[in-house]
Amino acid sequence: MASSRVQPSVQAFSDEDAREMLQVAKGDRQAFARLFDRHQASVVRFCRRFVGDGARAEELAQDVFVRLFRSAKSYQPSARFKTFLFRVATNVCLNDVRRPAAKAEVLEDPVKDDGPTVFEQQADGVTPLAALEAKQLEAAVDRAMAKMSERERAAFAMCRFEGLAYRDIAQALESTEAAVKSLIHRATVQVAKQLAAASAEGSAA
Amino acid sequence: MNEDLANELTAYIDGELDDARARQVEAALAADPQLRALEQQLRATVAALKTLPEPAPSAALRRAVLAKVDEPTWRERLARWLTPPRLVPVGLAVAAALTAVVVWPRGADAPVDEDALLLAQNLDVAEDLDLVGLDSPDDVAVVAHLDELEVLR
Repeated sequence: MASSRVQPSVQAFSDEDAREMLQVAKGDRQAFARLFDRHQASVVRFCRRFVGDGARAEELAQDVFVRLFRSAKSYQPSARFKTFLFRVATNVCLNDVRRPAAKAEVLEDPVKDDGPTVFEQQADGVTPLAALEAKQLEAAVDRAMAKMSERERAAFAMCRFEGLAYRDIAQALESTEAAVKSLIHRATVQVAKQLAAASAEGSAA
Repeated sequence: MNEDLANELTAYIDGELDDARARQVEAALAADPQLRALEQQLRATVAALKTLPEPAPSAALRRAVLAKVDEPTWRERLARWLTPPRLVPVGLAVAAALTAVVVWPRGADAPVDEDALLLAQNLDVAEDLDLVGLDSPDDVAVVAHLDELEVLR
């Protein structure tokens, strides 16, 4: 059976990104602006999925790019630029969600863990995801991601929304591919359950 | 359902398994409807995630980031501020402050230890008294006025 994974267009950007990054390390603001333009959507999306809040995601994305600029001198061209970028982004997001205020926000909005399992949904003959509207889908994904561990969330967001390979995610998280495989599997099952639960709620309403 | 293979399903869907392991998963899928149901569910989930609305970065983000990287860091600001015309007086001021701290450890308004002051003023007498075992200020006063006692006598 053929794989459905769409590999990111590595060749399309990585070499150019690495060159630009070396220019940024020399203080080239225009090279930085070009990198920003190419990757801002990715970084905002990653932060949005990580923290579950659009306005906060923009603030964090700002922080990510400022840190990227200031840490340009530590960039080694042997590492893929996107790996470096998402390592910075993950650190910024982790710092944010570890703030006491952020933890309190999560506690105020606990996520339920009472949905039916994937198999219960299948047994009921429900076609889980078809009935979900975009907003319901997004809310369900946010809820599932809020339940994940920080590393699951980071690995899942890099894999599902940014198309990074397990190897690159492992590098960004300073982990192993085996560990990343496990993180992504658990996270994907978590989301599948949450979507099944959301679909069941939608059908019952 | 084979749990080991079930745990490999996401990696299989993502095309992250080597060929041999992928063939094992495919064989298990062909034989196990429960595993197949989970695989379909995971594929549907992955596909649904691709339909999520895209958060669009605002124009303000670009302006804010580019303005921020143009701002000098505190180190750059400090380096710019510490030019020789400023560095010399600052250096002198710091040296003077350090000297004051080291040489004059007690402030002008610090309370005076009267006994210590009396002792300092009469150090020569105290040294003599020490030889005969006196250490009280009263004793010092008595000894200091021994000549008067002699007059009275």
